[in-house]
Amino acid sequence: MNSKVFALIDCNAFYVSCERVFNPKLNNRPVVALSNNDGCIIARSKEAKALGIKMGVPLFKVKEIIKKEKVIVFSSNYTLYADMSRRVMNIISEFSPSIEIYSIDEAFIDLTGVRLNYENYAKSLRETILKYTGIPVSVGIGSTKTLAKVANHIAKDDEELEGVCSLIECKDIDSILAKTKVFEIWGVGRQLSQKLNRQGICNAKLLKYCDDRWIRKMMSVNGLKTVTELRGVSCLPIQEVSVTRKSCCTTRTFGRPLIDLKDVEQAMATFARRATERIRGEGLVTSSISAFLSTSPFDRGSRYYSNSSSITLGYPTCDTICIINTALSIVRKIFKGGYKYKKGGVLLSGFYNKGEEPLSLFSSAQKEFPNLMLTIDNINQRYGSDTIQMASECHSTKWKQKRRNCTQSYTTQVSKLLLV
Amino acid sequence: MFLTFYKEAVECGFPSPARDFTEGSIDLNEELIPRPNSTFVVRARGDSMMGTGIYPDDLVLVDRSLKSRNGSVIIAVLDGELSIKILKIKNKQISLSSSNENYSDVLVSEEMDFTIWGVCTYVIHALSPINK
Repeated sequence: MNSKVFALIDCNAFYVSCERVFNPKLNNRPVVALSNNDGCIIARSKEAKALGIKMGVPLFKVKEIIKKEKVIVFSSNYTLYADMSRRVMNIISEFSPSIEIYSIDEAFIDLTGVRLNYENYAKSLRETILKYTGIPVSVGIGSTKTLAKVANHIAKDDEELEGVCSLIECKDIDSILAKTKVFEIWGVGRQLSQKLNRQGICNAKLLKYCDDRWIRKMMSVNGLKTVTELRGVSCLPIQEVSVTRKSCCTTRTFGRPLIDLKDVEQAMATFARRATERIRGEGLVTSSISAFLSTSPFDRGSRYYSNSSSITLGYPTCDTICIINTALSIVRKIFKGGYKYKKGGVLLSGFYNKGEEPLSLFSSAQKEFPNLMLTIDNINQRYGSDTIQMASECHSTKWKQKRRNCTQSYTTQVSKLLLV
Repeated sequence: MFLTFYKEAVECGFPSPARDFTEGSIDLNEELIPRPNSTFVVRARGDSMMGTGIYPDDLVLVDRSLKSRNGSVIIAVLDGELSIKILKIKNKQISLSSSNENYSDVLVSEEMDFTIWGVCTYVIHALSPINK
């Protein structure tokens, strides 16, 4: 048979697991991690799930239970999580040459042609990741990516499987699909699943045997791909190379509302600098800069205002000074006094690879400082991301996010190492 | 970190006759951290391991992929507490010892929650601290 074999490796409660590696006292205790600005719960340990704390719930809604059950709460420490993710992904790529990093804590690999027993292979992958990094993972194996995802759910839920579930030699996939709700299927969103539920399609088995034409009408062409994959025919290959990004956005909810133009400018200057540093790191130049501002839509006590605008540059650039100046000129245009701004962002787009940008009549008139930029990037990489800032940022902290319970950058800053 | 490495000793006072012998550079990352995915750097605290050459504030490289043996310097996790210890295994009895006589050995009993976080591979001790 010419069938394919895919595995999905998914880190268990990844952010919580990262914290546990550096603080083993957290093992066997309920732990949650918060989203940016300490807003919502985005990772839960098994013990926290058992207390009924739901994914994505705002922190204030579960304050009571957190206090009563002594749940440990962390602000997200993305520097640490990114470094641990990099280690996990590197180890996975040693097990398969064909890997698609799907998110910070998930990766698909192609195991087609691996002569060994798939389950044993996945078990040794799982044990290696756990030993080398301390991060527990679950592995789902199937003949399509969509089925590998279904298998991964089972591996996570059924403790007896010890983190690995393979549907490759499974004779009765249908009975498993019958237990899989439609919204749990990879690629089926909440809205679509409600639409299907109204038609009486509530589990993956029912969906699998629907008529193709009906599916195309209900779910579009991509939906049909998903259903074909449920039938065991692979349509979604491993995407090894990430597509060149189309835009780069730095957007934040401010730690507290900003009223003065000066404070807003400082925050937006920092967003512009960070976005610029990111594209510079990827060897890109931008030709279009947008900025947006908005007040809180939930604040009933004050009026709502939101606006954005963009400027197209005659000469693509990755120069921080030029991009900050352009972003700030937009900010001055869209800023209106008398509002409490709660959110802002800077979006760069219209990218070219550096050196491949179209020539412009005016490009030589533009003053750029490539060596200065390189030096700044080197310093910020070595001493922490905000060591060198632009004067327009004024080392402002007013807009800074709430990160009350953030742990240290244990693996990336020599001044913040784990003490033993 | 890159240091130029000469195969032969260099004479002083003359234009370097060793120029032709340059062999690239020493990459300490490569030398000391052959397995970067499983290696972590921690900072030592306390004086319990001074006899092994680990002083307070030293950097200790820890490789989680290595198998520990009798006599390995390890990061031990005992009831959730991390510490640097010497692993002793005698007749299947595990004990953790320090290299400072002010500290006594800990016998690891069945009830204790004990795991090995990683095996220490190198210690970096500053003799004349620079740029600090």
